[in-house]
Amino acid sequence: MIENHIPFEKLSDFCDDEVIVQEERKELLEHMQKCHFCKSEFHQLQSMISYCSDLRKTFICAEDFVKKTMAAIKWRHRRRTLLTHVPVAAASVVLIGGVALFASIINAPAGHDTGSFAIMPPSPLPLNTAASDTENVVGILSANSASIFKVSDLFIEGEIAAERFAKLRRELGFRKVFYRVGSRPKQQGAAANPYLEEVGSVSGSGEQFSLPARQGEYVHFRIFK
Amino acid sequence: MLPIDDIEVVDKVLSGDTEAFSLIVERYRNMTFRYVYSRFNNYDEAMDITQDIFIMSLEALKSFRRESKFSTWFYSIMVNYCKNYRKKSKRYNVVPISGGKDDDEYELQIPDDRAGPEENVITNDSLRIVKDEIYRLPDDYKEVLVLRDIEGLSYNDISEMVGINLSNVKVRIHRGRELLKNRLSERGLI
Repeated sequence: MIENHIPFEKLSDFCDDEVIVQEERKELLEHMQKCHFCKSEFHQLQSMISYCSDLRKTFICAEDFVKKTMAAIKWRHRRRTLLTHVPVAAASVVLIGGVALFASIINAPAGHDTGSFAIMPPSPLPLNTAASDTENVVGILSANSASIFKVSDLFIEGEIAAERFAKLRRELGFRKVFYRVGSRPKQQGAAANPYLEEVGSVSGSGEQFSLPARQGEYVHFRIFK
Repeated sequence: MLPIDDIEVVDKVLSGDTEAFSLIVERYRNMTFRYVYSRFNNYDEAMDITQDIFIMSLEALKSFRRESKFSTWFYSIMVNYCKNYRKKSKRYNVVPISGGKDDDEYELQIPDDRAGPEENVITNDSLRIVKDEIYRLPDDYKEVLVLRDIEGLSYNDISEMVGINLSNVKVRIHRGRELLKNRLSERGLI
């Protein structure tokens, strides 16, 4: 009886042709001729490897696998394209819609109903945005041949012929105006009338304002900032 | 006409011809399926995972640096995918739709060049036992054993694919073989 059997690792190497040294190969073969245990181990190992090798021939993927996989690849590709482009397209639509809406608001005529948005009607004044509001009001007053008596931090006081006041009032737009109708024009440089009352004051947009004007009458006004 | 090699196919795919990837799928499908099936032992699950591996490798194709063979690169993706899938399925307790390992319906394809139907049945049963015993091996042994004894890959390729050194590959193969041999012997197959 042979006491020293071939280690399994060596048998395994032998099966894989990993025992390179010729003499060692010869020794192993000679040992297996004498030792039935090692010979049996070696044959079992070879048989097992042979079965494994047979599995290679018998484990076969489905025939339509390539077709299905390529279809899955195409589907994924389409989905990814869609996922990439849809948000961009949606963002573009929102942007274009927003711009269009903004443009329609800007270009809408005064009083035009733009739906659910609370849109402020554009000012009838050709405002110079660079100029201050006081300069704008002074410009409007000059254009309407109004006399200016006083310019303070709170208001501009002056006088205008009654028949021109309605037009002036409309051009002043949203500004709050106190006025009083009188028969004689106030002299320029005179003290501001401390008793000017809120008679007929208007603080709306002024678009609908009208004053039944009488010849020779004057309107004394204060335009508040 | 000479068959187009893997690198040429890769070039075609990278230049936009996705359809050319079907050549890769055709070439590697059986090997991939065998490896996956040996690890999960469920036909439907193995088919799905095999498909996912191809899809993933197509998506990762740009990262193929051509420093190794395409097959080695592809197999390393396969090995890693299976490892990650196993971890994920453990974490989320994934249950395959077709059931557990005992009710897998996959029928082994026995080539016609063998002897009569009786011998086919015997061979079929023997191979099923081998397949089941391989599946029962620890993952570390099973992984390298399948690549070596079923796929016939070299130790070096296995080392590169699995990401372990050569001596570890050998040790795992020897131990896996010893374990499998003993189990098959116990079942009277060898």
